[in-house]
Amino acid sequence: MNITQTIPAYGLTLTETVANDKIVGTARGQAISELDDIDALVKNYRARILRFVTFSTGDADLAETLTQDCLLKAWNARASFRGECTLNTWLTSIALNLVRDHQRTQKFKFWKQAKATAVDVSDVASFVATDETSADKRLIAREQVGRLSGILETLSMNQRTAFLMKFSDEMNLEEISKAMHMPVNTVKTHLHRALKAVRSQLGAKP
Amino acid sequence: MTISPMQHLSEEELDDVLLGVGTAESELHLAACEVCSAQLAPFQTSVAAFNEGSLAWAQAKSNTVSRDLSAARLSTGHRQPLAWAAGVSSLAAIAFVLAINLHHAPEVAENNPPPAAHVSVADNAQEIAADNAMLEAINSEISSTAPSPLQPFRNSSTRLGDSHHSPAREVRD
Repeated sequence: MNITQTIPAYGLTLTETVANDKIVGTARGQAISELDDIDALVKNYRARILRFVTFSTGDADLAETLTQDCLLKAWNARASFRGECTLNTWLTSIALNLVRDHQRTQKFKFWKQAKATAVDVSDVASFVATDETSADKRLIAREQVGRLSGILETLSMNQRTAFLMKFSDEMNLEEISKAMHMPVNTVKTHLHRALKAVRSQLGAKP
Repeated sequence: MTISPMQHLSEEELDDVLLGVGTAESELHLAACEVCSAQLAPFQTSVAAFNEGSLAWAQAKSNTVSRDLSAARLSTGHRQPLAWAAGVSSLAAIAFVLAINLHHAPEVAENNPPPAAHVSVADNAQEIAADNAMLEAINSEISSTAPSPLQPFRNSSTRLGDSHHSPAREVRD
């Protein structure tokens, strides 16, 4: 039997079987139970949120603070999570709002730049492909991380956010649209521009 | 749109495939065409390496701070009871001090009666005199250093009134 469900907050209409509904219900229950246990929340989601905020802001110390704030905010507001999206999407949306709030209140750009603690890309790259037997492959992979990190810095905030959500957090266009409070077509435009910049700088096109 | 085997995908079509909104024809062509696949290879390998390395880096950083968050959770979760306890203990301390002061107040008054009162009255008189002297000094300073745009008004008030009757004295009177 097909059941059509409408999720008002997201404006989505889902047609699912009863079996699928049970699966969704189970996933929602699992997400809610994860939210109740802050240790599980930290264990399962902190790294992803930290990565998103770090490469969104380019400031490692600020990313630590905002990630901490994000998880505490999510845990305190856990009653408002209704399971209409994945927990990762919900947390990423909270993190994006915190990043935007910070940027709005950060008016003194000089001090902002002076205080920023830039991400050490070589440190990040050192975590790549540690199981690779070939030293050459390790070196190439680390170089790729360094190059992509550098290219991300050249993107606009919206392009970078959309890129990270799509290609690192594996969110779909609808989820990104809701998280960024933008129409899907605007998200697509940002992603197309980001892809053009990234691929051209990576040397995809001769 | 039908893509012939010899016709490669455009940049937009390749981007659409990466975004997950490519057509079925684009997907089929990409699966069969080495040239088009090679166009996407640098991007895909770079993103894969970036995702792997950045997540491992973030995981390593997160492992060291999970205890801090648990501690913060505890302080946030138990903030209300602690605040209540602090408030109640503060009120108890204030009540205790007030009770002791009220109990000993008559004795204090008997032990030190008039000198303290005399001293305070004398101090007040001296303070009032000092304040008056300071206000007079300020008045005279203001009237002597009037800015130039006000000069005509100062002159007219001098002409209209007594020449020895300065604005400062008007204020005092």
